[in-house]
Amino acid sequence: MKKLMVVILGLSILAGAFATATVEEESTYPDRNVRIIIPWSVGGMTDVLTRPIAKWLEDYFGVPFVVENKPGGGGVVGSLEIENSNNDGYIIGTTSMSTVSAQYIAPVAPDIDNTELIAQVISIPATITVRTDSPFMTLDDLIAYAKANPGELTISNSGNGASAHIHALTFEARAGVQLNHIPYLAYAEAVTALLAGNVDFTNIPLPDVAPYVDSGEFRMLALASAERHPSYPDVPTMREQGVDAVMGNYSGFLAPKGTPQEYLDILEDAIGKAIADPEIQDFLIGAGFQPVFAGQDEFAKIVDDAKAQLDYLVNELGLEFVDD
Amino acid sequence: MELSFDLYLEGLRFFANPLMFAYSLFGVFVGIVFGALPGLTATMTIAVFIPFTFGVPAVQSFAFLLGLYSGAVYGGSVSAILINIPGTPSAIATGFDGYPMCQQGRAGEAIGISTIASGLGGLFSVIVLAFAAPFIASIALKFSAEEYVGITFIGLSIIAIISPGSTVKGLMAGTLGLIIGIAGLDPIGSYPRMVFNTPELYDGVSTIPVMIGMYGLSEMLIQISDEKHIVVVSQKLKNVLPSLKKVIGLVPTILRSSVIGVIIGAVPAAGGSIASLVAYGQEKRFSKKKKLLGTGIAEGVAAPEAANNASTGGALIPMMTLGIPGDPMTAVLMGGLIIQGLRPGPMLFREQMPFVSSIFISLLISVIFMTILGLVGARWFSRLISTPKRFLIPAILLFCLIGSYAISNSMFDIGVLIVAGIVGFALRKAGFPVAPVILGLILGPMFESNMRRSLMLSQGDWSTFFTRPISLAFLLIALFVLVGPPLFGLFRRGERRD
Repeated sequence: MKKLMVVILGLSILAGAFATATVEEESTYPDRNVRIIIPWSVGGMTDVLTRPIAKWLEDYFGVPFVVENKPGGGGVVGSLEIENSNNDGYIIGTTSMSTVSAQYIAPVAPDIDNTELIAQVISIPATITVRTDSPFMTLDDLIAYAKANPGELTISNSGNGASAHIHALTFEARAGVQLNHIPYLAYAEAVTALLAGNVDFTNIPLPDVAPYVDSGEFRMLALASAERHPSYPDVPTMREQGVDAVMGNYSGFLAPKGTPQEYLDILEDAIGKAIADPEIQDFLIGAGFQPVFAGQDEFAKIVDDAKAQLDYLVNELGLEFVDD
Repeated sequence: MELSFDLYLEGLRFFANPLMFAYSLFGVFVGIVFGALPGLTATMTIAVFIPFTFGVPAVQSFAFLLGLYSGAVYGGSVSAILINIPGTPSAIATGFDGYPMCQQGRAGEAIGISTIASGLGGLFSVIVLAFAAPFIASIALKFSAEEYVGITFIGLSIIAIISPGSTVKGLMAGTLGLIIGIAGLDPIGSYPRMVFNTPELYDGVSTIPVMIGMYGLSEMLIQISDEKHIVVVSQKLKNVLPSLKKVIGLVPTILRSSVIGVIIGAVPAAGGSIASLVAYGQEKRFSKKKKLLGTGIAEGVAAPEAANNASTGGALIPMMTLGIPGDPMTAVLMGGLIIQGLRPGPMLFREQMPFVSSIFISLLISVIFMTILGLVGARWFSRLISTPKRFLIPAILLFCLIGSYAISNSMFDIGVLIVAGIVGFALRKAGFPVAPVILGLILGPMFESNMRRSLMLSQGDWSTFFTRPISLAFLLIALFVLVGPPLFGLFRRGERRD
């Protein structure tokens, strides 16, 4: 009896080994855990939107997509880790505008050219938002006042050199005004500052100001998107009001440089299906994001635009984020 | 802002789920065990367990974490009484009378009194939190950068005045904390300071590994180097439940200490260890039995224990309403909130009122569980303390490593932990308290960024700190904290001469 057991056990182990071997031969990507490195902390914007997509991919591919947060240095730590990871397709990561802007702030910064972009999943337009009791009823009012009183109007942003600061500087340049930029820790603190009336206005993107616009505490004077937002049809775009600026933050997936093109295509296709899923759509819209799917080439253009915007600020306007 | 009673009651609906009670009970249990283990501070206990709450809904995770909080603050007293090694820094003063009681064979009585005093102190703080926090929250929204400057300044000045032991050494330790806090990209201009081209340092030195290193790791190193602590004491525990008469006799002490605990707990940067020392100090000044203090009397156990548990609710007030941690423990708790996507501060009260009231109710339930478990489990807990050190110390070291790594999945933080542990060991061997280092590290960056933000808002006008009434009041309180005690000293000496 014992011998029989040993034989059966041995056979089953052999069979198992063969089974694995055959699977490996015919393996399709991905056939094991895929790690998604998020360079920002748990509960942050990128984390919130990446987790449901990761869950969707997990169900779709039937392998775990393990989300790993590597926060630090405004995304520098995690972004560098993505760059330096194995390019076998089993480590991917997320990116936002901060990955590009970090080079102007941090002594050691990631380089987006060391990665392969996969797909953009959301965009969030910058806004011009004031308190409901503000005297400014339109963007023109605000610009007229700012022109008459240079450097007087205070605007809260999410940190020196962060995307909101960059957008504010772009707005300053395009509208021909001078503002007093007050940096806060993150989007939430910058919005709280406006709510408390500590600053005159903010340009924090739509998802974070939307709840207060809905509750009647904030008034949105302009959206920096190309077209009006379906939920806020009465809010004009900046372009409509004569300020030529389309700007906002974005988030998407990328992989280390040299990840096989075949794998990038598989992931791009799957992420596209995920974004098209009504459940994911509902979630993202509910969280205030604008779901946007842009594949590898299109996403590259968006990142290039962001780079161009920064180059313009730094090289044309001679702007320095670090004043030493 | 509308804060109606209905919104308060809405928090109750979470408690229809029995899991809430289970999490709370489990938290209190784990908290007491960890708190009672020498070297495992309440702060560390919470820091270690926060990563395990990632996947749990926020209300339940907080029922658990607040249970840990109450349990650990109480649990520290058990080892302080039984072996004169405070399980947590907030139990240091408990050992002053608790251990003599134990030596007189009254360990059971001491644990009983400590449990009752902790329970009543905790209850007092929940009441204050529930009734005063919404009020404070409603004025908190009026706080701008200037007011934060004032309130962090009070915190920093308290370090100077009531750090245990030598004031000069406390100040030096606090300065060390401030210096460490400078590292990173500066909070306003992003200028790199002491980052040594290390991206891990861009956000500054991570506070939690420093905290775990300074408290936990250094304590283990001290116990390893200090071999006389190897002695294990076993005690018979009897009369755990004190008589009603005895409890009534302690009411003035408990009430006095609870008030002290809530107030000091609510002041940013103070917290349970300072609250319990001050309460013991007050007892020494006002109690009828002041001359007997230190010989093993009930008042000497009740005062610090009521105060340190009262400080739990107190410390939650600035955390929940202003987003400022009242002590290192709430600093870690705050991390737990942020992980859940909830930002502590005025917005929490506006947007998450049912969640906020669930926190109050969770704290109340944890106080009740703490009292019950304390009285029932006292005998069993004492056995844990008798675990041989050769098992205990490696186990605690392992927890330190896991806790530090888990905060941001970073090996770099393990390095921070080890360096902080060695520095903390050296500091403590040289007689420096480590608490001011942590508080300096936490408060320094808050003070700096808010001061610079204030000056940007006022376009460089320093008078902004004096023309805003709340800011002015805070600065006056800070002045009083710094100048008050020496003035009182002069006054009292004058009295004696008459």
